[in-house]
Amino acid sequence: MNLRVEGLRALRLGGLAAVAACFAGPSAMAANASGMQFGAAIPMTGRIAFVGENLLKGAQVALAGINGAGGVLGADARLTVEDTKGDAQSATVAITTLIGVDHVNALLGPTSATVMSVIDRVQESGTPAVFIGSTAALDRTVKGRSSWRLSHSDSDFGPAMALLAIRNGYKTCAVAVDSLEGAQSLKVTIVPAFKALGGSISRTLELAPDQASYRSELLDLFADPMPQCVFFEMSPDSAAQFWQNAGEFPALDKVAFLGSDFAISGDALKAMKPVADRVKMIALASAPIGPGRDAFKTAYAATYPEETEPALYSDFMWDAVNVLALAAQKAGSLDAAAISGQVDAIANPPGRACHSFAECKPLVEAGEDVNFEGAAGTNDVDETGNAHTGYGIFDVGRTVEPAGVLTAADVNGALASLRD
Amino acid sequence: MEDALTRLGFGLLTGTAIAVPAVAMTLMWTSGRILNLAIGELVTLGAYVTYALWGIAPLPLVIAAAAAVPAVVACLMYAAVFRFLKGREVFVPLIASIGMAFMLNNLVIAVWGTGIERVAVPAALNASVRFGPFMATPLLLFLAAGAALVVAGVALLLYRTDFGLRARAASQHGDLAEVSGIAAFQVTLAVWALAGALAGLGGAALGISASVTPTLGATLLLIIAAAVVVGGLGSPAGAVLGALLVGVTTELSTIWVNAALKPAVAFVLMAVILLFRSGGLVRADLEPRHA
Repeated sequence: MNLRVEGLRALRLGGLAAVAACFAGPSAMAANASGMQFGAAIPMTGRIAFVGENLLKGAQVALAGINGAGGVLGADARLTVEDTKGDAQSATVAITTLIGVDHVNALLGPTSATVMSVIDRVQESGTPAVFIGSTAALDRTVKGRSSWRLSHSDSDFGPAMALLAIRNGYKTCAVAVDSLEGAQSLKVTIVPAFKALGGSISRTLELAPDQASYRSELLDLFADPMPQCVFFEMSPDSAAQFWQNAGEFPALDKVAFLGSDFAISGDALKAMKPVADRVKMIALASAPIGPGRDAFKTAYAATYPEETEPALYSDFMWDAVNVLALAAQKAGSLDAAAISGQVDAIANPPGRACHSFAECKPLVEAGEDVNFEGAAGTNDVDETGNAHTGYGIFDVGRTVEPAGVLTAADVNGALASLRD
Repeated sequence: MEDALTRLGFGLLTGTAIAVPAVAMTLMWTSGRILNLAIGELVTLGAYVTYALWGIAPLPLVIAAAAAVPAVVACLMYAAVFRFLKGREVFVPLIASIGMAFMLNNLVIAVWGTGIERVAVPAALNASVRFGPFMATPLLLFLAAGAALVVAGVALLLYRTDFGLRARAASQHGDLAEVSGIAAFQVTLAVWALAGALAGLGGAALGISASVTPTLGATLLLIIAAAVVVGGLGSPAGAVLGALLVGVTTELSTIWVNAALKPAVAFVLMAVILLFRSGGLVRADLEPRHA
């Protein structure tokens, strides 16, 4: 036996094994590390930076609660954040880093803007993942085997907005959305739903983001026949210019705007500030009620005492972190397949309803079935891995004021009429 | 017809908003064939300085600071980086300028964050007025007049003063200018200071009339560059003409074309102009012939 040859062969094999281990996914190496490691692929810079900042807050609140309750499997959970910048290339790098380099035990995100560009990579890795985004493209692609979506889909949200318009007596509406993925997804679901409910769309405006002026577009929007309402979604940066220009049109006072959850973000309020006293804006977002919401708000206030309300979308992240942490706790392991195998059991009935990691953990450790009901809704996922929730209605001006709810039953009724 | 005239008016307003930064970009080009893409961040910086001092300092001081801070930054950029890249292939300073842009943008974010900020302007200044088919606010008209004055002032400076003569000499033949007793480096530095100040003033106007965000300058960069190329690289008058033409064309195009394609219209215009006049609409009178 030639020791030198054998030694070199061992080195090569060992090197290959090390390289292979790097790409083997989360279970190979992360299982050896203490403490559950979450990886968040979220936009911390760029056009939708406010989304990432708010999601991060939700994750931090959840982690504080988890670690305050003794952590997952007795060890503190940790969070690694990679910036997707809201673009596909950066999202690909972020996912590759989190999965291939950091070997996270669970993935949070990406968001609607980038999720479809990396979903295959995520699902192939087997890393348990909760995507945070409403794009309808996830309806059939989440699958519910190692990835889920606990936040609403535009397939539900669009009919909900259409129903909101009809309930407010608006029968003729326009659509004004920017060309980003989330807005386009919403447009595709609002229009047929509104028509099915007896409404008519007077015109559809596609707004290029980041323009120096939207005056010509507004001229078209307010042209005869004047719409009663406008289904509106735009990223806050672009919306700032839009509202600034909209203030130059007297017709702004005669039209109601129906917005998505974008419309109640802090940046959206700032964007709308010049016209806040003139615009009638009604927005749909996560329902602000329920014991899950209360538990979240209490935890959020403890972590961010200076804020009067939880940041927009932070509830989605709180739910995602808690569900994955509880799944790992129930599985008794940080193995990817083991965690994935328990997500449905944690998120869905039957089981005793609980609303935070601290509340659910002792029940799980006692061998009880639990049903985590979170801040953004019940988090009950269907066979496709998607959750369906109700919504809160908000009047948006200088502040955001709750103005009612649309329950999941209301929305299902609207969806049923759409199918008829 | 009335609708078209209204959009024409909108286009002129858009054009005046980008004219001053477009002149800034052209001036930087004349100093040594440097296409400085960090000009967008100088615009952003001017907007943030305006936001930071608004309501705290008197208006003249706010405007002066909005011009001075980017002017200093522009000088630093030239002295530390770009003067060593003069005479190189065009893409070399271009790449360097992209790096500069990233640095400046991150600096702005580090200081002011990523949120949307507003300069509080009296509501009366934002109330729309109509002149036949045209509509505008008093604020926009004031800013357009201000832009015209600034551009006129730059023209006077470049073509009616000794400094302008030196600047043109240094841009057209730096070595000969040195031999003739013109301190080319100092003159070029002064041109960059002027360009930085113009970018800052453009940012101040945009910040006052719209909103202040870290992406303000970057999102307008392409349309500013299109204006400069359409008008003619190296011609300040061309930059102004290009800005107005780009503004008018993009707004009028919405009559026939989906508004989502507005950004593309600017580049189609650029391609068409360059097909028939490769140097742009106006012959460059400050085109550098030698490094």
